[in-house]
Amino acid sequence: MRVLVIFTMIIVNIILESTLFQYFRIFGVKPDFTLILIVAYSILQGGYYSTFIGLVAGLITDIVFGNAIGVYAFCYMITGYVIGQVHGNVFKDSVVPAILFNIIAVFIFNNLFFYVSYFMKINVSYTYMLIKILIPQCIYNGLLGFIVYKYLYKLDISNFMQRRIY
Amino acid sequence: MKLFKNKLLIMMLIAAVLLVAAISITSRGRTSPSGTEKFIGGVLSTVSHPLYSVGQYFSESFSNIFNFRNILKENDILKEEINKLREQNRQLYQMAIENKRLRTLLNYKEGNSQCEYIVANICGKDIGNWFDTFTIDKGTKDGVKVNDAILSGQGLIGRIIEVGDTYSKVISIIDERSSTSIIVNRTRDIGIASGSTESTLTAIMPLEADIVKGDDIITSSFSTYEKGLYIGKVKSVSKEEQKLHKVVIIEPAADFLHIEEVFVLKEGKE
Repeated sequence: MRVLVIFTMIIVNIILESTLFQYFRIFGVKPDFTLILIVAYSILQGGYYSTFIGLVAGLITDIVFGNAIGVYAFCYMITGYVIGQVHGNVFKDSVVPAILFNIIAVFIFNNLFFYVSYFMKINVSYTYMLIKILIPQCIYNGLLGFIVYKYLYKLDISNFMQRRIY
Repeated sequence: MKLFKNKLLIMMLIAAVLLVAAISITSRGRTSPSGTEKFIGGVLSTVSHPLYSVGQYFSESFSNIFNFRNILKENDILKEEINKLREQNRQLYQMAIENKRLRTLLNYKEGNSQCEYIVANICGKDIGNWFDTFTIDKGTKDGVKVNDAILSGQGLIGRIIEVGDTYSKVISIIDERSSTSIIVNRTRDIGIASGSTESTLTAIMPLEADIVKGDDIITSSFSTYEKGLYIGKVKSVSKEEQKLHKVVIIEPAADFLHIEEVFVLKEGKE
């Protein structure tokens, strides 16, 4: 059941992000809910979940919006793996790790994305990326990440998610 | 437990290598997606168009509430402008008839053939903060082709880079990866305009080009776009003596933040 619910969440998230959440942009930057999902599940369930969420969400994003297949998938997957290492070392019921690791995840993701774009000969200035995208997004994701994490935590410990359907 | 984690690491590394290979294969400008991609893209674009409209509706009604007084003023100004434009239109119509008559007298062949337009709705925008691409709800079934120009009522928006059956991906002219050959309408100086991550349009012109603030910029006949599409006005011009070119910042006429309906101009160059 958990896998099914997560998969639905990924799809719904991508649809919402490309449509409704486009209007949440402040200073041209939009919070990245895929990263919030990755971080929440890396704390709740560990590296396996976060890596695969990153891979699947990234691949769908690439197919629907990307020019080259694999850019988002690569960056989200590695972010998911790295953040996934924290599982078992932090308290699940506290929101502090959610805020902290959301900020770290945004940092890792945007840096990876910068390097991939750099090797695809896309001319992006690092300072611009740092000031205009990374720092605002860190603040955004940190704030929203902790709100979303509280709900995801409640959902994850409910009996509904433990049920097996196969 | 340690073995378990290592297994994940190995799987991730294999996937990473495969993805890097996929990036290098697909980054050279594919124009038609594979079957699976067409399916996923088609399904998602059908679902997301209504949601996009809902978002548009809410953002517009919010901004309308705050701008209520300005709207009344604007209405008066617009009414005056309509009258002016009507008069101008009449004159231009007379001129067009005259032009046609004179052309037939001279046996001058018409350069601009009539182009067809397809009306399309935007389904969704790129979810990241880096690029400016979006999807529209028309594809090969409606006769959309790669490199067709996309216009809004105000001006050029971008071109099509990938076409599925019922959806297609559009790269806008302010995207980092897009560049356009432009011409200054007044002086016929040629330059190249490219987008940036800051979502501005910057053109590079030769140092001797005669260009001032407020000039109209249109596409040239060297670009992938149809000749003579309106892009926008010049915002500022700055010289770079060492590099021997002028840097021109263009303000696009199209409002990229609030686009909902666009026109696909058929018969783009291959």
